[in-house]
Amino acid sequence: MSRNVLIFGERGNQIRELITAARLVVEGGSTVAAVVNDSALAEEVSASGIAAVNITSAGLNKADVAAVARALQAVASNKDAAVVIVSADRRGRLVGSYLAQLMNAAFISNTDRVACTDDIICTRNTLGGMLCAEQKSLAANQVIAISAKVYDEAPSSSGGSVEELQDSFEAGGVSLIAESSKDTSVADITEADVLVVVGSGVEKDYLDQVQAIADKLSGLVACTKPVATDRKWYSEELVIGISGKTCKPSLALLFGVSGQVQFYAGIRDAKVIAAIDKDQNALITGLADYVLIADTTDAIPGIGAAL
Amino acid sequence: MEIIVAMKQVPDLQQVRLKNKEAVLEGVPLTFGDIDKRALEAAVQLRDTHEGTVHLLSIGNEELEDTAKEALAGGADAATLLISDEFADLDSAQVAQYLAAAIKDMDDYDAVLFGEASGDNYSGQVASRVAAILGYPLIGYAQKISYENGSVTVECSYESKVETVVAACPAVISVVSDIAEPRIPAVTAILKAGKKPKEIMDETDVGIDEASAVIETLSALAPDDNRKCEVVDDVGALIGALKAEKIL
Repeated sequence: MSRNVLIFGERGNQIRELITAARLVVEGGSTVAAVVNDSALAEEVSASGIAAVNITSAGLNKADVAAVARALQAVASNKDAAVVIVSADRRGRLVGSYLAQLMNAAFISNTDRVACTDDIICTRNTLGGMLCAEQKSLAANQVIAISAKVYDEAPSSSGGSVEELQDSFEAGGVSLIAESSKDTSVADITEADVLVVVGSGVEKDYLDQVQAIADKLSGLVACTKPVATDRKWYSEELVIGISGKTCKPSLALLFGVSGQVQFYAGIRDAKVIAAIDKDQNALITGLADYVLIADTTDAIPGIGAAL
Repeated sequence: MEIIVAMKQVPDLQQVRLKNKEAVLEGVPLTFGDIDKRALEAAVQLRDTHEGTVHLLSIGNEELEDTAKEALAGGADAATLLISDEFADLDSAQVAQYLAAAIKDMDDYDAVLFGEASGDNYSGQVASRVAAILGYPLIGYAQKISYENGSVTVECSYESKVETVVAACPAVISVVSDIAEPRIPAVTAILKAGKKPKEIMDETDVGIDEASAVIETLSALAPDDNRKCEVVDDVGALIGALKAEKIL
């Protein structure tokens, strides 16, 4: 069943991952990527052999979700695309879900796999990460948000093109008045081969030693959500879980992590999980490969010294 | 400042057990999700600063009246509850239609607050859909909200940056966890919660005979987690095991 697919993302690497996903469902149809007021990005993604549309509308700002969604709706209509694939980051989810309402479409968020039969079957976590669900659209149109790093980036290929779409779109009433970068020193934990994870069972005095362990293992420090949002010890960018990042390291070394399902959904695909926690009844003891029942105040210095 | 807070009734995930890879939800109490509670707290703080009311809006089955007491004890002044057996298993598009229809019938308000996503499904789409249906400005992932002269100024937290935006009210705003720490209600607040005004509506009251589902869930099973679950005696044994795995 041939389908035309529209892609929306904000970065080249992200869009190239979405192109790979689109190629799994397009089945002879066409793939088009839309970008907003960014000719360089349009050129970059067209190098993967697809058509890129640069929406150049005066006054269209990315913070105005409704206006961006209306622009994408126009492109989807123009390209006869009933399937829209967006990144499952915050902007992608926001724009994608608004667009879904405009298109009377299903919105399937945080998709970890797409497969094609007569329908597009999307696999995603549900019930706080406890279950893995297969879902499909009942509507003629669908918007699918694909999680980062699920698919490899599409390679360079010939045959791409760039076109400009100059039009005006109804504004959504949101004006951008300032923007600032978050701490750019925060590393991307989804890229790490080794993650040393801080949970609520770790005392603050031991964070330097945890970092030293991560350094010795050439890994990165990550954390559970309460450690970032409640204790504010780390950036939200380092949170693993259904409301944070999904990571697939070779080793996840967990200190003081109880193993709530919302966390585990983000580390489930680690090759080896080793957990250190003083509670022998903690959920994590049934979810790890190796479990050391110990107080983190003893285990952290011990492991630091042993490495 | 008149604020509606839309909160979703979700199962208490700590009490959900698995049987044959399926979730056993029978007997599991329903609650409001953590991020929704933070949205409520943000609304209560705005109300306390600017005066006005906080109005809870939620949809669900007959247990919702009990669940709503949590939010009324947590600072909401009144509640509109959409309750019907038909509302027990809706998809997000259906929920958005019902909520938007209810909001249209509510008195003047300045903002509709949502958590960025629910604690169970975490798809984060109802706020966007409601904004699209109502035609109101949509602001996502708010970490700080200010209100002045009929407009909101909001700091929005994206992965790599913070955007500050402004919009005229009424606006639909989804919030991130950072925005506020939910309060623990005092005993007096819990006792007063049952006496706060509540309006109960069903599908006929909101004027929608039937909202069509747009998603079908074909299966929902616990994934295979074939971990070794090997308990080691000490740090040396752990290091040894990881070396044997050729991870170290």
